[in-house]
Amino acid sequence: MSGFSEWLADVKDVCASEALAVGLPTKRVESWKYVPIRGLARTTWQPASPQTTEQFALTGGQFVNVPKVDGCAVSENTLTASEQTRLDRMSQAHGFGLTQAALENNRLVLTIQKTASVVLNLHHLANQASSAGFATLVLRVEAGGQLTLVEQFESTDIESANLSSLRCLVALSRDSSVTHVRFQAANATAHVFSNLDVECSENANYRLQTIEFGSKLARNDIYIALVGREASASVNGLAITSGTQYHDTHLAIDHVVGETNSEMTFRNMVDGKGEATFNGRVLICKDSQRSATEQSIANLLLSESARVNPKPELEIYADDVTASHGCTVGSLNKTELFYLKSRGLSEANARAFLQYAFAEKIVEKIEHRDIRELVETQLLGELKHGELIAELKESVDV
Amino acid sequence: MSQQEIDQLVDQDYKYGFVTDIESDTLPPGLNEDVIREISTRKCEPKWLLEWRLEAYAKWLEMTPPEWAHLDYPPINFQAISYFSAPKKQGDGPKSLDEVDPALIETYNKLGIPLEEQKMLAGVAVDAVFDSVSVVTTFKEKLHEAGVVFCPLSEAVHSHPELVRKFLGSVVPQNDNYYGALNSAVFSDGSFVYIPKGVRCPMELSTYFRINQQNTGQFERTLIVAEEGSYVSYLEGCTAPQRDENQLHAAVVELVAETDAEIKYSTVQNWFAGDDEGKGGIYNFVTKRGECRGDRAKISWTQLETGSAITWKYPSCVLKGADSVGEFYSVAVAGKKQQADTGTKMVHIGPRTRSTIISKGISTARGQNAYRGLVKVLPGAVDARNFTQCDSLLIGDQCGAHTFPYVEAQEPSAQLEHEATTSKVSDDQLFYLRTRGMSEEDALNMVVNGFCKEVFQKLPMEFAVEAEALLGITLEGAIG
Amino acid sequence: MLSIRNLHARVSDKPILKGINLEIGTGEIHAIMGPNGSGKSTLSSVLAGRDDYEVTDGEVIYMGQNLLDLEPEERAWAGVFLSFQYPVEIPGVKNIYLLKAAVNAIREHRELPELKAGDFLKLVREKLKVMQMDESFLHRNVNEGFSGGEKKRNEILQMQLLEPTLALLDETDSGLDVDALRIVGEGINRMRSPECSVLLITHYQRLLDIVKPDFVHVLAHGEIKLSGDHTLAERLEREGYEGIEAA
Ligand SMILES: Nc1ncnc2c1ncn2[C@@H]1O[C@H](COP(=O)(O)OP(=O)(O)OP(=O)(O)O)[C@@H](O)[C@H]1O
Ligand SMILES: [Mg+2]
Repeated sequence: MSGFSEWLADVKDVCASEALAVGLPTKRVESWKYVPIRGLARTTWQPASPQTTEQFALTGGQFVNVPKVDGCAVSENTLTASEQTRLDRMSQAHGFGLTQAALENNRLVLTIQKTASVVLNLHHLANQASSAGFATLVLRVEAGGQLTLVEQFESTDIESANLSSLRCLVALSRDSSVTHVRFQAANATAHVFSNLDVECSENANYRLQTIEFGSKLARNDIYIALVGREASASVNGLAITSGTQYHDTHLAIDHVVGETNSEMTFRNMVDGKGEATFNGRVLICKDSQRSATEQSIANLLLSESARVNPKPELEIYADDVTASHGCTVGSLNKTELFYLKSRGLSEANARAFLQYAFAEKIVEKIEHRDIRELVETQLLGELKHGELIAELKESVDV
Repeated sequence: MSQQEIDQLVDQDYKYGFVTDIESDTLPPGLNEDVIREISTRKCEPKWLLEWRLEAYAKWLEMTPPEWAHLDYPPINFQAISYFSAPKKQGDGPKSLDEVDPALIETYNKLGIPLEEQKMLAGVAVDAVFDSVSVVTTFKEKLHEAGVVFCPLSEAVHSHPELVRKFLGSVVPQNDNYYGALNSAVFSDGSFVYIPKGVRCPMELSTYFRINQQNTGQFERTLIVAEEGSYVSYLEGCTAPQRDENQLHAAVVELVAETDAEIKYSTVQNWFAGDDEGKGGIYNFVTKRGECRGDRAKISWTQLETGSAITWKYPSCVLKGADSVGEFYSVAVAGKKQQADTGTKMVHIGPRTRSTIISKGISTARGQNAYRGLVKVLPGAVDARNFTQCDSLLIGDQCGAHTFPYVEAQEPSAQLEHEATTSKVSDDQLFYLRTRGMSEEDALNMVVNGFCKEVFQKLPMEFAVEAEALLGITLEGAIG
Repeated sequence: MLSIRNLHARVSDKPILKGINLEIGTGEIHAIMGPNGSGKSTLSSVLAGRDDYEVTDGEVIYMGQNLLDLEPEERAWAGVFLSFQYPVEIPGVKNIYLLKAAVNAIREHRELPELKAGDFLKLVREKLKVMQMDESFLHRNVNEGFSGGEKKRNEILQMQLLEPTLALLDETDSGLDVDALRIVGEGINRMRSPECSVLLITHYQRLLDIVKPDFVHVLAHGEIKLSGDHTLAERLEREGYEGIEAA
């Protein structure tokens, strides 16, 4: 039984009946091992309805105000065979994948035209209590195209569970590049699901920056396939988890051909009774010689009840590669704390400094200045005793 | 070691692949309650042990084989395996070496394990397990003086029933996992070691396992208990003849270290790996776990895994006592069509518990090598520390190296560090050595030995040499 | 101003300081020399309040209060400054954030008004100039990627801004080139005043040529074995510790 049963029963298609039969993934599904699904199972979910807004937004599972910008065209809603395969792979992964597919409300296909340079700002509006919206976004970036996609979440106070799910397919043609910034600061009762499936052709470059403070529960499934020579991908992620939040990112990168590069850096900072999971897997296939990958995961535990489950994985079938990963778990560094205190900072301020520094290592990589500043401001709001740093930034940054 | 010796070693394919022609008493293949009763009867076991076995069997029937490992093999037909095989012998078993079948002694001599005490490596007591039963334990006298019990588990069941009953299954419960449950139901023999309070075991203890009979599974069970303030270093070695069919080996090892006790457990595993095409070889599914029950207890696992068609093995430490220490040092080599999925679990429960994991994986030919490890820190394991390093070396472009380290941290003061790298043998290093006059093969050997050094240093002296030689044989033909 | 009496300290059960006695008057400069591992850094760290070190006996009175009772930041507020032998790198924290936060935290406890951004920048620029440091150091992370000598200069820069009454300088001269040594030495001399006392840990005479100490002490095996004036340092340079200990 899942909280989607009634809704699924109303949708009469194969996918829905499969989803009903399979149910939500339990702890026995390895990739959902740590996900607390109680909230999902207990709420009786209903379709969310869209809200009015001026912005390009995803609301109630629908895209509204799709911007008309040069170089970006809204395409027909039919998927290519390869897109369909990739979407099916998401759906078939487990019972929630099937649910996402069955309850999909809206699908948007955008094409970034050859050599165009486009910036898209997508706002996620919160859904009403007990309601859920499911949508799919398909982005086709033509040869030499450049896309900056910024996703932001609106945080309004909603007293009970709400859910939004976005599945996103991105195809990068040769020589194209995508910078994708995701800033998730959704309300404290939100359940946010994001599935990303990215394919990079020759010499294409995909960069993802994902920052997550918000929601009650967030689950990100990110899959990146480097299918053309000299394709590259980098992922920088930060999750700040506190209260009773649960944040979970499963990231997989496949090096399908040779001379491809990937890099992932992820940081978890967990306080209160929060729990964070990060699973990063890199696969280097048999013929992907001269590929390189680097993975680093850092986890900061700030309270007695905080939990973290990091897991970096490497699966390598080619010999001429360089692959490494590092993972650390710990609390704030004592020597650093002492150094700051010996300069007169109070314990609370010294701790705030170090927490900020931990997060800043990821945030500083956001090139998009407005977004970076927005993130920094909100980050300081999240931190206990962040005021001193906020004031310093204000006064001495140039 | 001289070049000549290396050459000799390299010249042989699998030198332990001979079959000993010896009369044996083997149960027909198949597994059911009656088989278990029969095993128990033949070993004249007490009733509680039979019941314990049957309980385990009932649990096993409910379980399914694990599928999460990075391994690929056809389902095992558990009814095609014989669960008991013993060299035929008169009466109660040998009282001394003179009563042991000379063919057996010859076998162990061929394996390089002389059982005759006067010829033995100084200071190493040996227990030899042939197929399912322990055939001889040496140096009994000397150990007895020190108060150390070192004998086959089947004997300990009679001589020290209270100890066996107290500790058997206390670290690896009957239903711990699929293969562990199977072992609990049908285990044949293995070693039992008991080190009393404050005793430092006067010599290295060692057990050699050999599977000889066709269609025979080996299910040994080893139990080592180190009482307060004691110390023991134990080594197991394993070989099997070359056969076309796969043979199953599902062992369980349980270690208990009380306050201030230290157990050092080393393994040189060289079961038959199958041929270059993946035909034959041992399926090695082993459960090894140690519990540091008392404060400042220490358990250290060191392993060299070169054999077996399939290795599924995660020697673990449960660190309960405050300030207790767990270590895992491993070299795993997967060549031919071998598959290894091995690593460790370190469970931090007590405050200030520390663990170190050093894993070196080497993949050659069509071998697939996976490190799988879990570092788990429970709330209350204040200031727990872990350092993990797993490095993989790839030699050739048909092999694979994989790393799956799990971390579950629930204690903020814990400090965990994990590092992993995967690379091939550097051309620069090989070139450098060759300009200094070494052959390509020797250069490779030297680089690989260097790669493994940290682990080999942890092996007892006598076996470090053996380990290096074994590695040399395994790498033979890796460059080409 | 500072009196250290019978100070014993250990680190992970290993006794290191075994009864240190030392009196430092206001405005005095004391140099401490001694073989590697003798406990010099331990002494300075204990004075600054690092909790890896456990004080097992003795007391330290600083301007009438028991220094050992204070937290590290309280010591800083009271005017104690430690220049670290190995300055700590803090990735992600800009140097200038630390400087401003530290200056104002200490001013607050001296009941001085907070420095506004403009005034603060003016002050920092002035000190940067003295230390011959580039302004870009302000916007880099604390000590991260600094060369050995740059780190030491950064420590002295901090000292000048924080205006301590007791400066503990642990091998601030190590790793400096000739010019930097002079700059750092002069930086220390500028601090010289009737209000500020200095405990200077060093291995070399060359810094003492620039900063003339009032007293020189030899610390060995956790005890002060010998004290004298600046000529003692010259003797050490000639004869080494072995010669002195034998004598
Ligand atoms: N955290 C620690 N754990 C163990 N031993 C320590 C620790 N800190 C210091 N020690 C030991 O204490 C002794 C004194 O160290 P200290 O750093 O005070 O020496 P020092 O006089 O400053 O030497 P140097 O001239 O080399 O800087 C040394 O033997 C050192 O190894
Ligand atoms: Mg020092």
